[in-house]
Amino acid sequence: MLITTAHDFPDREIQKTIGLVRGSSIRTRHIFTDITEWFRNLVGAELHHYTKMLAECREQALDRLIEDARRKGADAIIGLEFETSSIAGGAAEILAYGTAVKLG
Amino acid sequence: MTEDDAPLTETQQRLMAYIDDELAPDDRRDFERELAENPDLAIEVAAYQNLCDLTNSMQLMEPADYEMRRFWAKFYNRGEWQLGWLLIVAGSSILFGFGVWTLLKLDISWVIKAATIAVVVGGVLLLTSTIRFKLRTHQFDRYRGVLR
Repeated sequence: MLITTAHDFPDREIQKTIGLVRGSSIRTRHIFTDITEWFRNLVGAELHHYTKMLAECREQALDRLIEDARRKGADAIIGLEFETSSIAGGAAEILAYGTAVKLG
Repeated sequence: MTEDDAPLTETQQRLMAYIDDELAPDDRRDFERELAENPDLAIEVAAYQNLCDLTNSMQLMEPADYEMRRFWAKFYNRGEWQLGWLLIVAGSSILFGFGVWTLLKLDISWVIKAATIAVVVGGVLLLTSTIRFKLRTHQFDRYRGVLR
């Protein structure tokens, strides 16, 4: 599956626009991780567990986006964007969306 | 200023641009013509290309990861962390038990006692169920290996 943040592929022609595809995910760490990161927050450092949580969330949202596009018969996604929202405290929330297309 | 800090010559700048594929098509052609006529330049390009290939093939670990592994490899550091957690868990368990014991001793209606215990037991059951579900599904979570 070809994915781009641009709205076309310079070397490929878009044959058909299928429409909106999206994938989202919300993930949290367990309470012991939160306590560990709270201590790290006191002294200042990279919050490794939260970095990992965000990365997991991003990959899952992206995989769900690709799955959605595949189900709709697309072979590429253009205009990929990521959005975050704030629903649950201490959770990483990511929405990935784009336009599914069929390439010529 | 040391020799390493000396500004690059024009030839060196073009050489690096050539290796990084940053030259315009005309400049690239000119440079390749020069390269064919000048064996010393060809040797220098080959040396730079080797260096470039070597650095591109290296998988550098981020200092934070390296330092973290070194830090946790030491017995004292691991022990300090584990002891901290052990004390927190032990203290919390004792406080929880003391709370339940105090509640049972309080001179209040048995209905209130029963309701409070029901809430606590219900909470423990829900937590246990959530932990069991997590343990069951954790092995199928394909994102647990994602680091950053």
